[in-house]
Amino acid sequence: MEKSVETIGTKLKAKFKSERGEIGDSLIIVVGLLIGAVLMFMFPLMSSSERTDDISQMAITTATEDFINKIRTTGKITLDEYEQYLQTITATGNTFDVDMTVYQLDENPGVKVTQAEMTKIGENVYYTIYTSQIEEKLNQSGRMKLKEGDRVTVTVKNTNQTIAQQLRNFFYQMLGNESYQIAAQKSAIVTVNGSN
Amino acid sequence: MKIQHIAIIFIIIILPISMTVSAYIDSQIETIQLQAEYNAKLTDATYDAVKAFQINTVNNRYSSVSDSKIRDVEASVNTFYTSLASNEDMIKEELRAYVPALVFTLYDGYYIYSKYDNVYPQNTGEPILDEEELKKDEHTEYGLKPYIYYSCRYAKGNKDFVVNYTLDNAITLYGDFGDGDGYKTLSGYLINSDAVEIKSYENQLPQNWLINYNADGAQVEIGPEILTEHLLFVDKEEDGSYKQGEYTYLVYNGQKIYYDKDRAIQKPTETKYFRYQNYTKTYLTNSYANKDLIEYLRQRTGESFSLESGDVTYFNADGNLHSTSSIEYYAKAKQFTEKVRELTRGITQENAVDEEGNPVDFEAVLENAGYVNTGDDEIFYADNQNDPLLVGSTFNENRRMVIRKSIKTNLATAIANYNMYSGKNYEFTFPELLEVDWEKITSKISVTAFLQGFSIGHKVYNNYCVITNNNNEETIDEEGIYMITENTVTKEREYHLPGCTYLAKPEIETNLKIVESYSNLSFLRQTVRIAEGDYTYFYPQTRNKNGSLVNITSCYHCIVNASNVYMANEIIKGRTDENNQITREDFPEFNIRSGGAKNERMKSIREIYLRALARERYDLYRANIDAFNDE
Repeated sequence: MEKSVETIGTKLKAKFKSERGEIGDSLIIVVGLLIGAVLMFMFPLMSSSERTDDISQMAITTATEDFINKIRTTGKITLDEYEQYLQTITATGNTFDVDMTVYQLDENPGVKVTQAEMTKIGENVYYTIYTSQIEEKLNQSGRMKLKEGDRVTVTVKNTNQTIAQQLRNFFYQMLGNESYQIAAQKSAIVTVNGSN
Repeated sequence: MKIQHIAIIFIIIILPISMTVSAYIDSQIETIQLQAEYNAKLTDATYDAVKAFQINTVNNRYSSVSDSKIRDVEASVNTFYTSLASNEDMIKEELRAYVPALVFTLYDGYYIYSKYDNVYPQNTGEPILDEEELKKDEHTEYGLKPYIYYSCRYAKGNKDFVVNYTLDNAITLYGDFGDGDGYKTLSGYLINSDAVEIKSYENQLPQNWLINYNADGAQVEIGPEILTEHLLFVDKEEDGSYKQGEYTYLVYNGQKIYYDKDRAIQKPTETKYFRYQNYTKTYLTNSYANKDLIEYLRQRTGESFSLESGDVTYFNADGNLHSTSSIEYYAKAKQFTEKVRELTRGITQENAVDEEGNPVDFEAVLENAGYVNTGDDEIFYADNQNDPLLVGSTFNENRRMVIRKSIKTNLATAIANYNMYSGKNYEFTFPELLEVDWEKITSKISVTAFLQGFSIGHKVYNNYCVITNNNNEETIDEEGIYMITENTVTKEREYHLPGCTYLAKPEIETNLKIVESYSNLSFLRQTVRIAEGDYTYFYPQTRNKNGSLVNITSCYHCIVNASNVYMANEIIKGRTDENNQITREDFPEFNIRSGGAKNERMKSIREIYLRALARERYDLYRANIDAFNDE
């Protein structure tokens, strides 16, 4: 009787042992599958989506640079060029927020402040014109003329979540609304008086 | 094989690929950033070059003389390299190997700055033709190649002549016009001569001269003008301040001559006319050499003078010197145009030929871009249909094409030849220029810089930059005329663009009375050098109002905020078109032919503008276009 009890105990022990091993194995399999999925799908996906964003980044840097250079050397912003620029950047498959600022130079001597001396150079005032005002002017007459000495800044940021951003947010949440992945900022001083 | 193993193998494959791609793209981004940086540097350097040219010509009283102009251009080249070098930690000698050409397009031609062989024929008198020999450093040098004119040869029947174009409507023609008179040279301004009606000229007193310019039903009266400038001298008043004052002036042979009506004349050899030289008054002497000039001036101040008796008699003198440049411009241009119309009858685009007499195929050279077929329209027959002042006229289209073809072919050759001397492995090529850049080159003074062969990571840098300038003494641009207004209430003086929308409003609304008009150069600050390191400044458009000096300021609606003004072309036409926001159709906003208070204002703007444009163009000294239809 004692023996049979012992045998059952041993058997049970063995059974329990093997069951525990089986449970451990399947756990490892599940974890392995997860890691495998992350490594085999998520990692390449993230990596390739990051590259896509890099390429978009490259495209918008070039487009912004071209756009600002044109403004700089022709002395005007035209509706055609602006729309072409918007088209180029949205062709990357993202949506963008484009901020344009024009600083108009006022070098009227002695007008700004009473102490200003007309014999000094560089004591200037700049008036700022923002995106909506620029767009209004462009829509009105198709062009906005600038003059030598004016300054232009174009800042562009993506407003949608790119796949890379979404994947990243899946693992760790980026804080704040101002998180962007693709951005470019260019500015320049206009070198010529705009003509038609 | 277990799934884990497959995963590891997968990672082993993917990880390096991903890392390489990532590194590659990063370096591509770096390349692009570097390229952008170089673009900015190139633009900066070119801008500095243009600015140096502007400053040098404006402050150089002799800049229109060819030798002096070469110095100005060379100084501008130096500025370009200095600017590029200071941005680049390289020296000029290193940098210029990467600049196959710098092009300076000026009023009637252009300079190309490049490396070229500068070889005298050998002792035997034979030129060196061996390429290897030519490539040697001792035979080559960087410098300005000979000046190239914007010229084109036209031949038809027994007519065979060359036309030198300019950036505006001035041309020089030379050759045989088949009229039996042989070889002839003519130069002058081509205008719509049908529009010019001479009311009184030449046999009359200059004060009574009058011309009607009536282009396309919009009439303008052109008579003598009073031009005034404020000057500051190095001499001091008793209270220690510098002497300054306002003087009426006119331009004779490219030089400004002022009238000092308050000068008390002691001797018959003294005159009241002076030049502003070395920041003092240099009075003209009443010598025989100055005879013609003094007579010219006297007629325009209403004085007559007898050298024998020394008596001065006045007729109708108001104490001002009257400039008749604008009348002379139209009158002479009319004579010139009529002669040219006669001599060049039947010359069309088809008659353009090259050195060998083969027809020029503009379409092939310009590769369709910028090519305009003007068909059977006579190029030099200027009338209402072909007004050389207007963009798009047959004359202007041909002028543009000739300039473009000339620059394109010569520049391509210069850059291709540069390969021979560059000493670099990189093959320098002439890049395709954008339409917008050609537009700039053919319409304004410009500097074009090419920068090629720099290694920037994955690529070799190859770009160019065109910067224009309209503030110089080379040419008077249609946009380069400013209108001066005086506020009838506050007496403030402002200057405007002719197309200023605020200026176009009726005087009752704005209180702005249009008083004068000058080229944009008159609004630049002038420097007076008293001693080394001691400078003072003045603005020629400052005015003395009741004992206090009133500065002129720029208009906030057009100069400061240049965003929305009418085009110069619209002012010349006397008609501005607005675009209806809903129907997208053009409708005339101003049309001076229709009358009404609104259009009257535009009419007076146009009148003052056309007068000033003519005067300023006539007053520019042309070193290369001498004998302006004075025969």
